[in-house]
Amino acid sequence: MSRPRSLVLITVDCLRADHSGFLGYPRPTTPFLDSLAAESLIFRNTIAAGVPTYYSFPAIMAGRYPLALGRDVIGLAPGEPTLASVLHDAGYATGAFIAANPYLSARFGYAAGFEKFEDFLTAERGTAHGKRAEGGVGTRLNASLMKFAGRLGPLGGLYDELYFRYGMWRANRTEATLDELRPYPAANILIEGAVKWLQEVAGRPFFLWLHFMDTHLPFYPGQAAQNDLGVPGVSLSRMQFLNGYWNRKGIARQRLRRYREEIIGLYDCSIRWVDAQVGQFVGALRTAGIWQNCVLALTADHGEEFLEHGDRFHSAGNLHDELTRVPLLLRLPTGAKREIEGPFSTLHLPATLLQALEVPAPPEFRGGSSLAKILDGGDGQDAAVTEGLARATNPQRAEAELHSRVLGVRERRYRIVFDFRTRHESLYDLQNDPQELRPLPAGTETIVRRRLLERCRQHMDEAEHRRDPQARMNLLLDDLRFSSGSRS
Amino acid sequence: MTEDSRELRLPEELCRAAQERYGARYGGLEPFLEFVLRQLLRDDAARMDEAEQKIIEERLKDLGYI
Repeated sequence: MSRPRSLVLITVDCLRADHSGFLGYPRPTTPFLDSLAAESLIFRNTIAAGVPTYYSFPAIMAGRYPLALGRDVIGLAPGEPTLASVLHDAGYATGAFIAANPYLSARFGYAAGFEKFEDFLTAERGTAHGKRAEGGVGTRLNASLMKFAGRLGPLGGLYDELYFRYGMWRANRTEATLDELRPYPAANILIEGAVKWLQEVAGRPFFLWLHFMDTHLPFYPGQAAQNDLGVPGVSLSRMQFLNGYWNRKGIARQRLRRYREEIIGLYDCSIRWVDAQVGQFVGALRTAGIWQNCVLALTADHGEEFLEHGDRFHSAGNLHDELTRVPLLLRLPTGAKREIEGPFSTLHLPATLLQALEVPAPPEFRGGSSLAKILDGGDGQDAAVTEGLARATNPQRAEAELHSRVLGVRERRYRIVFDFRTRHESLYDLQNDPQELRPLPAGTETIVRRRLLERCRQHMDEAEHRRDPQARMNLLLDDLRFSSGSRS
Repeated sequence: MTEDSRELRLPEELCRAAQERYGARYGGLEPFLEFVLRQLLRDDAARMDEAEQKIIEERLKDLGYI
């Protein structure tokens, strides 16, 4: 390699593999990426090492499992080698544009190694979304009425529905634009910043990380994306209603199901929008004469659940494919094209990207690269591990820190999920039960069950022996500095 | 020095700076330092990891795999 290659890493929050056109989704959500797939490595079974974002990114950026430094800390440790720090030390210009995801901010160590780090975390964004009558007499009166109506059976549900619709009507009386409704900056805003930055660092090899949030609730895709996808035009007020309804707490699943397909429609349109923006960005790289020497990787931190297992969003305890299977497209300047079927853990992504750049990976990276083997016709790994803490909905709260682990091992055909709270496993045959709805009965598939449980044990053994006490201490000290107010 | 405590010597300028910055919030330098050490030494997470390692082994034994 005569001139160092540059790297663009695009991570798309909540992007499911099975909603990506180049991975077989029947709706045309990703026509640009589909065309790029024709000259790329496509990893068909990429599995996130953790769910959600704060458990997924230690693998993507630092090649380690999310609980490797202890379950009571999150984020990257000061001094921990990351993709950015390694490339920065190798002389790369490093820039990141993160669409206002607080778990990917400097507070949690993600700015380390980046010369330019724009996280768009400002107070003004997204205040128009989902405004309800908050506080005051209205809310107290509503709470009292809810209690009363709850004693009258179905009347409670009816009253709740009517109050919700009243709240949405009040919120929607003021006109708002899409940008005002989005709590995150849209992909085109990040790209604008990135293109400007690339002009500033022209002539240097660079590492650029873009993290898009357009496919994260609430979904506000523009009309163009809706038209392109052939989805009947959804008005702004209807989008507000759907997003508000889907986000409601304490609501029965049957009521949510009424709007499931419409919400998925908005989600798919958001993917289409992101796809178009990626196309625009690659066009800009071509115009700048940068593209031919660029490695581009596009993936996601995790997927999104739409009631497949009775829940919404992306909770830490769900290790099924709708959350853990993410797209991975890796475009090399050589245009090498292959489809890799075997499981590929995101744990191995940073080492793989470094190998594509011919930069050595640090020994601290737990994952390794098999890029050379893959380019030679080999497949992915045998199994991919995902770990998290069940019911850890807000890891910044002390009571969430010490939940039990859930551990998943995914092979090409089977997945096991071990719940340490119940001390039992669920084993799924993905060939005969791709939706993972029917765990195999206890006592069946004993050879597979044993193999996957042994893999779980191996993971736990390695977790204990490979803990880096210095990195853990650095992270604890960083948490202390933050909580004591000496670092914001 | 009582039986359950220890006297330490630390640079005066370090103590003064820590007292100024954290003393009010933590009720003094000694409580602040005690808080920091307790945080750094907490091992609930490690004990849970060890317990979970045993849980997996017990499950494998229960199934007759080991």
